[in-house]
Amino acid sequence: MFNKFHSFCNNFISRHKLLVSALIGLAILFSIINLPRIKYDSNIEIMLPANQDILRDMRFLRESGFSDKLVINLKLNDEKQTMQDLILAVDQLTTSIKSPLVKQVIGNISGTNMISEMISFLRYTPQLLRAESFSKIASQITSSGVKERLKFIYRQSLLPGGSFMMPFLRADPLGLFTDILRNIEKISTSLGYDVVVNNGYLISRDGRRAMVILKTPVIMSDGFGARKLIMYLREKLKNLPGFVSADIIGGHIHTISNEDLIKRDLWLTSIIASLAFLLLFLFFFRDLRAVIIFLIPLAAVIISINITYFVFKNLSYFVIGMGTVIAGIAIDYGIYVYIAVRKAGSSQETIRQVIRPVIFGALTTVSVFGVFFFSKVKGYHQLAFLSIFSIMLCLLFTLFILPHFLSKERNNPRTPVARKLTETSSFKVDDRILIFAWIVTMATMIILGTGLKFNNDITQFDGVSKDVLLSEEEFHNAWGGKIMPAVFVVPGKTLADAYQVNTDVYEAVIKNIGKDNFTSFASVWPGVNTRKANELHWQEFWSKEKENEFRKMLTDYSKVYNFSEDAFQPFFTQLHPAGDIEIEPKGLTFFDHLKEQFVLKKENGFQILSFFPDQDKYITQLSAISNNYPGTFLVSRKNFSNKISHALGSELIFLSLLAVCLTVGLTFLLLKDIQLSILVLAPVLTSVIMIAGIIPLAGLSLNIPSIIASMVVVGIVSDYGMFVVYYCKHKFETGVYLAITFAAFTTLIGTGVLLFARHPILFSVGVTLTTGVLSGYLSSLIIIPLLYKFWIPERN
Amino acid sequence: MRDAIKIAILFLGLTVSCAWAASDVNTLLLRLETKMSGVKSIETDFTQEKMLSVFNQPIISKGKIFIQKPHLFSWHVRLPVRYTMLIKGDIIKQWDEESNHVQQFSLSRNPGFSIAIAQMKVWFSGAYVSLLKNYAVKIISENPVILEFVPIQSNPAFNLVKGVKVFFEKDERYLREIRIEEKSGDSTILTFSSVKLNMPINPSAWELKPDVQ
Repeated sequence: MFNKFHSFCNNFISRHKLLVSALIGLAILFSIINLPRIKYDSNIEIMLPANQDILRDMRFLRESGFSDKLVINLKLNDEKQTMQDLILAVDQLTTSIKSPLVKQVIGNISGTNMISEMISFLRYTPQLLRAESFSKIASQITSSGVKERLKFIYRQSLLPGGSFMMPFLRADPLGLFTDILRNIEKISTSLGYDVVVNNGYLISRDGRRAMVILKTPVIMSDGFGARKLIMYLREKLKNLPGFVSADIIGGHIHTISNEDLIKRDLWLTSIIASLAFLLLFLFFFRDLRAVIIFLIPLAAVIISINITYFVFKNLSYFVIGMGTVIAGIAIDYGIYVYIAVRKAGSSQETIRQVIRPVIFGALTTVSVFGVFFFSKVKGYHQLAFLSIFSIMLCLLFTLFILPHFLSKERNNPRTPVARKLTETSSFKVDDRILIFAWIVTMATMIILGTGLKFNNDITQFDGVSKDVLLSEEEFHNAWGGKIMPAVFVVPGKTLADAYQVNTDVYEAVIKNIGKDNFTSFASVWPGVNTRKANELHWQEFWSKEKENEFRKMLTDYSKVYNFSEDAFQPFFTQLHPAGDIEIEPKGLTFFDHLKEQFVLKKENGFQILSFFPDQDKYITQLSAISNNYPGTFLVSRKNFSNKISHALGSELIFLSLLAVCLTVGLTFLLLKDIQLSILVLAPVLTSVIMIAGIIPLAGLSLNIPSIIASMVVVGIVSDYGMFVVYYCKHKFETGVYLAITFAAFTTLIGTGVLLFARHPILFSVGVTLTTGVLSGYLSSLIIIPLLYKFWIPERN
Repeated sequence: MRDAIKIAILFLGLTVSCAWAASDVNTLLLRLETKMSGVKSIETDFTQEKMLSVFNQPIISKGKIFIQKPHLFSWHVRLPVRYTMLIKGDIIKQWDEESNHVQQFSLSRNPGFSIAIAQMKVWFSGAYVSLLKNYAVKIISENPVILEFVPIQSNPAFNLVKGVKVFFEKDERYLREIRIEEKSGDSTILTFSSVKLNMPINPSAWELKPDVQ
């Protein structure tokens, strides 16, 4: 059936060779012209599972206040220059930044009168003081307690600046507001930056650095926008005086640094791979027509990139990065046919001898990539589509087009290297020694494999340049804030709802882990129900009798220090407030700043954030609390990595098993023999064990991309096994060993160039693929024939 | 037409006199800065008189101030209570006899205190030219020099301080008196006596002990 179809197609193409060539040429030309129009996506999100929790966390991180901020770290380079010079540079920079790419420039936070703002905020004391505080107040309204406080206020008045504090102390003689002040101070510094506010400027403790904060509408993952923004800022930084250097710190710089690195890697690997492919064919085959074999996968990948983009509407850089690997795999089929034709002539019979293993080889590889369609990761769907389309296109070109462009004559490759490679079937070394060496190698790799560790930290995929890392290290050394806290997120349809749930969560959390490790806006501004309850307690406590008792004590004991009669009238004026409890403070800059830091306005409501140390024990305890408040969730880098590895880990086990089953099934379908099918799996087993041993030996750890690469290895090396076992069984003179050798070489060129990649993902994939393919190739050529000889002697 | 010329002349005259006044202040501040730049250490007795609305009578305190440029500053009160304050960079340490407790905190976390200390350091530093960025400066008298500094709006002290008058010694090497008027109506007068310039300072001045004489 297939032979008939193959003959029909061959005859048709033979008759219309020019037309078919022109059509294919046009398709390739159109694809090349369209390449620059394709929108590439460097967003890591596409490589994450479409799991609700993970997407929610990712969306939160993308939309939260962290992702729209950049910091410019200005530093004095000259010892002679003073902080005043630095401040002038900050002013110069902040006034020069005027662009729609920057929403707000914060270089100076002066203009805030903290003392008068605190005095204004004092009127909320009845709403903010917790029920347990009243026993402490009661203990203060005694003769000794009041005397002590008056003495304290008198002493404060003697201090430099003591008079500035007097209005505050007059309104709060008992120091009732102290805890609230402490909470305000604590949550103001919750992100851990060590900033000294000097004349309103954000200065480092050593006085040699200044910080300018920028808010931008450009989202962090928008590669084009991020590049525009960073270029704009770099242009502005060039105008700074020579004695000031400046670094931009923020996620946007990571985006463009990763994009630059991947682009550089793609160019470098493509150039190396192209040169290596060309040299290999021209040097070993000395036949210009061999270049067609190189052009087939190239054309197939270029056309497939266009089709994949058309289907998915965008294309991940990470998927494109696999292009050279796909080309390396897809070229194999052309090699098998080319070598067979060179060895046995371009007859229908020659093609028929290789057509089965070529098709089944392609099918096993396609099946491995095909299982990725079952993944929840959108990026894997792109990878699967691109790979399968490239491989199938390559297979079609190889089976139906290539033979028409090759010489009809039988013509063995004559190069010395080629000759040597054809002789590899006749081993000179004792077979037992080889088997023993293989077993020892495998045992060693299994032992080394015990040191294999799984790394689920997503930051390992950040290929940001060393310059950026150095700037960040320098920044964190000067300003702190290196360890980012985890976030407890409380959503709410209305702000009042969110405030109340946030308060309930806060109460629950501090009962479990205490106040010190949880920074919540609820400690400064609780929900309306809590504030109402607090105010009720206050009113009950400050009865007319209590008020008079305290007033009398103040009048009596303050005479010693000559306090004026109305010294503490401000306290009594606001003892019984009559404002609307539902209205939150207005016109207080400090409150607005805090609110901006903790409360996010979303499309469908609000989110209130609280911060805590990103440690397992807190994540476990707070996760349990979060479960009691529907809608709330935790976001932590550690937790995020765990969620991803958990989601992908279980999925990858399923996908790997599916890939192995499909490979075994297709192998059995080709060979129709269990023993032979097991032999095909020998290189697969060898590759997997070698990968497990080499990864820790190279100082790397197993990660999700390397697991995927291992699955691809299974598809590739099972092809080698299939060809060798097919050859051992049928003994067709189609140059199988030479073909496999060239196939492995070309694949290794594709994978080996990834070892030159600087991006950690591409490098990790390169190590896995190169190890797997090389060991799979060697074991196919050396071990399978030996095992075949030992295990199936009667068939020899 | 004549009126227009008169107005033009008057306007020109005003502009010239303003420019003259500005350059006058600059010259004077530069002169003071040059004279005071030679001063590296100061030891002086002080009397502080505070008129605060919260008290019926002025509060008077006495003690010593030690300054070692650029970073060390200490303030020792002997009367009416014993109290010591040391400042090194951003860190402040305090001790008082009654509580006998040492308290340490950062200036950046105490805005009121921070403004007060910044004020004191400014007047003692002698770097007056740079103050023009944060204060409107008026010459009250040239001999002896008396200057008035009024914080401009961007100055953190703007909301608290109405004005500061600084009285210099005849040799213009150091201060005789500082008067601070606050927006609340409170005021402080600091008077200095027995000033010793560039003399070695007893190391105990930088300790939180009450034995400094």
